[in-house]
Amino acid sequence: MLRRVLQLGLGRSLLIRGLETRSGNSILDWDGKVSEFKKKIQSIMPGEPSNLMCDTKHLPPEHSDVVIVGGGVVGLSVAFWLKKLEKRQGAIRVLVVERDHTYSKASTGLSVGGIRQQFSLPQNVQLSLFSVDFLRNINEYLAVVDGPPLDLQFNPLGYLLLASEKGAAVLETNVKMQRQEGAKISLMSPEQLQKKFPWINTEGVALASYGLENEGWFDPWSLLQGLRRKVQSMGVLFCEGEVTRFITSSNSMRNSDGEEVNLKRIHEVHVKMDNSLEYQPVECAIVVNAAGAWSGQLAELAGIGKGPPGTLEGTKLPVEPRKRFVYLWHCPQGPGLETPLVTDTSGVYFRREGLSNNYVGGRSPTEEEEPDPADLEVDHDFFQNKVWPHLAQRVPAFEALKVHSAWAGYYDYNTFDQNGVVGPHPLVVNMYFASGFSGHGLQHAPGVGRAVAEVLLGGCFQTIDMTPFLFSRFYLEEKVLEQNII
Amino acid sequence: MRESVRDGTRWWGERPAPSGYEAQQDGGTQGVQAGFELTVILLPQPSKCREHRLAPPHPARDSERRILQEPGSWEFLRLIPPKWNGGKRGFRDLSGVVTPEGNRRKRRTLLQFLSDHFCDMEFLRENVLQKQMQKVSLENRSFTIIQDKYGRDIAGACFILQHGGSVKFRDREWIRSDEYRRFSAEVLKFQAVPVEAIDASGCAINYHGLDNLLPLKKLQCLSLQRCPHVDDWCLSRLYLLADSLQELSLAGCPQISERGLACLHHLSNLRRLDISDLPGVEYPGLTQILVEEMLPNCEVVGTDWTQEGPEEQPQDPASPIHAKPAARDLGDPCGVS
Ligand SMILES: Cc1cc2nc3c(=O)[nH]c(=O)nc-3n(C[C@H](O)[C@H](O)[C@H](O)COP(=O)(O)OP(=O)(O)OC[C@H]3O[C@@H](n4cnc5c(N)ncnc54)[C@H](O)[C@@H]3O)c2cc1C
Repeated sequence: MLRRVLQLGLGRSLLIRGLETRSGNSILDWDGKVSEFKKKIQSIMPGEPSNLMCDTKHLPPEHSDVVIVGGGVVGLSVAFWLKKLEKRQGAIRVLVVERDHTYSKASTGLSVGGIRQQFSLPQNVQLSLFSVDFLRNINEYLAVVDGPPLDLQFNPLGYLLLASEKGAAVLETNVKMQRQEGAKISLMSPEQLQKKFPWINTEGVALASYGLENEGWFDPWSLLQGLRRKVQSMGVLFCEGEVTRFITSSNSMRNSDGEEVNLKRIHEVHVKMDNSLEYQPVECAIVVNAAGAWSGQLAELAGIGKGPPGTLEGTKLPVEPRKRFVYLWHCPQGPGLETPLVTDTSGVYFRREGLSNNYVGGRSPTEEEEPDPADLEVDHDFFQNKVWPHLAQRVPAFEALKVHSAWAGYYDYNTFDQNGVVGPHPLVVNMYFASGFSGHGLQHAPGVGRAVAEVLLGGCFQTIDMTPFLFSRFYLEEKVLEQNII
Repeated sequence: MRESVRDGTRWWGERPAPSGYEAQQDGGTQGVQAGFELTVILLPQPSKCREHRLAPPHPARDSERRILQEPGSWEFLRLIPPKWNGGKRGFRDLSGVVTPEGNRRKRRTLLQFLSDHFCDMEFLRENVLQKQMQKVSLENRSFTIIQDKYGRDIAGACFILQHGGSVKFRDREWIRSDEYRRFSAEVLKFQAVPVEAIDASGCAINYHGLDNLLPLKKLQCLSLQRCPHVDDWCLSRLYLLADSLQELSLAGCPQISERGLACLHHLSNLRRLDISDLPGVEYPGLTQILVEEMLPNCEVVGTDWTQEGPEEQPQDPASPIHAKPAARDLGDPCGVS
């Protein structure tokens, strides 16, 4: 184990040299290298806190069996499960390419951190249940020797979904299905709701569903960093760079109907280094597209969607960045410690943040209101006009509140049916997807990572049947709609 | 055409599974496993390196040409396992430069030994860690056989007694197990009598162990004082006891935080709650007030903070606690902290 880490570290320093020598500015400082080496040894000695994490900026290897594009929570989860499920330790070489190690725009860090089982699709409920089990046992899954235990800061306070007269029937059938899958959800009448949460104005509410267990919110950063620490200790390589090009070859084949089909295979991934015109080709057997909101663009790089419209070759990956605002406000008279994550009939949601009467919340804009996703600027008028009125209507205490801060992040929005895309592309045979989760990717990451690792290693889904989430549904126009998009 | 796409999706399923890649990889990692890279760093000769330090910076292309022209100065690259050099550019041309076998062996001595040695240590420690976790989960299995035969109350009682706690059936005396965690078989006779109170102080109960307690529909008094494995996840399940539970003590549980305490709002019949001495709660005073607000009919016992001087409030930016580094430090995006 340590040996692997050692080698990894050394292998890396080698590569750093490689980069230096190739860019030509390098000075081969022997003393410097020795002290660097010493430091590295020290950092991995037992008893010392591991600081391998700082050492991630380096050139990628020239070969890797699996290249995962995107080092967000989904990409890291795929890496984790690949390593966990590999038959022999060290059998697969996995490289994670992430263009921004500060994760400044990545959805993972900008999310609200919620986890719920209140979905309309059984697969989503199963994924969530799997994930919650993962999160509960996170210190068994992601334990590293000598690393401090992870504190996910899970708030097990549940989701409270409110439905109007119109939505009540759907809510009821959904809850029935969720319970069948094993989720602990209760239904509440407006009277029960009023009794349980006296701060809610039940006007316009016909039915409410409330998660009793396994729902709430947690700190996405802890999960991300925990996964990073673990996969690094498992021997996964990291590299900071952007994937800009795929080198593919194509192969004509005939299917059983005698039709000609062009199968493509990616041989090389070009990784462009930060602040440099240089790129490094990485030979690979498999590419995992976990680029979150940018996975549509990445798929295009591999020629997906470039064919004539209406054909499988011309079918795009319909995932695009959609900007979502989150506001943090203070309300001295606001609801107390028991506040769940409330989703109003209007689509406005909020939850408590900390103990000092702070709350975070927001709302998904309608199709016409969609803000320009070019940057992550926050539109404060959106809160004034579209969020606050509904908040104050539902929780009268929110009539007096003060917005303290706000941020924006990108949903990896699947415009087709707001659900994830998992598994390989039918034509570009070695590109596997794990994206398009439209605002619930964080909570599904553990399950999705496992599903992708399963198809990748064994050829089929085992734990959760994710076949409805395959890419071909876009061509077949078979929507798997998720109604509960928050 | 529709059909053919379905075929299309089938192809990938029928493709030879990536075990092929694995095989290919086996060859590739051999170099790594043999530990060759360890030697690499020791090879460059200082004199040659100095020469380079004096050389003016070259643009990228030049440097590459230079590498090819003077392979001697780049000797240290030679032991990179062949797979690393499989690319079209870069070091490939250098992989031909290989030192004789003997040389290689000599340089693999000390470091190799150390890393091998640590490898075993690491393995051992990982194993010990795993064993400890396994032990706890083994102890927390459900007593399903007893449950089927004698009912839930007996199963719950046996579970607690086996963990070294004590139980009280309705209108009976407290029952304890002895120091070897043995207890009299008389317990099995109380089938018709519900368990009323449980003292599980210091027991190694965890999330799964609670399965044995949650079906006790008449349980009024539960003490989980100083239970090392009781955490917020456990508290989130106590709502199942909401109908009967009147007294709950969580004092001294190291893993409980205010996040778990917040779910106790389900326990509407609670009359007394002890949340004193919880190291995981960041602001005990404030938390106690909020819990009291949340459970208006319940007497909340907390650390008596009025006697310990002023409580640090989260709003106070000067307070050292306020900085609350743990979460965000971990979350340092660059990991450079
Ligand atoms: C405001 C908001 C609230 C949310 N709330 C929740 C919630 O409550 N619960 C929940 O489950 N989910 C929530 N989500 C959704 C969740 O954050 C995302 O679905 C999830 O984080 C997606 O993870 P990811 O790893 O796929 O994407 P990301 O975290 O975005 O990671 C993708 C990474 O890929 C990198 N990348 C992209 N292209 C390239 C390239 N060409 N080369 C190299 N690297 C590349 C990017 O830099 C990025 O770091 C929310 C999202 C937002 C915006």
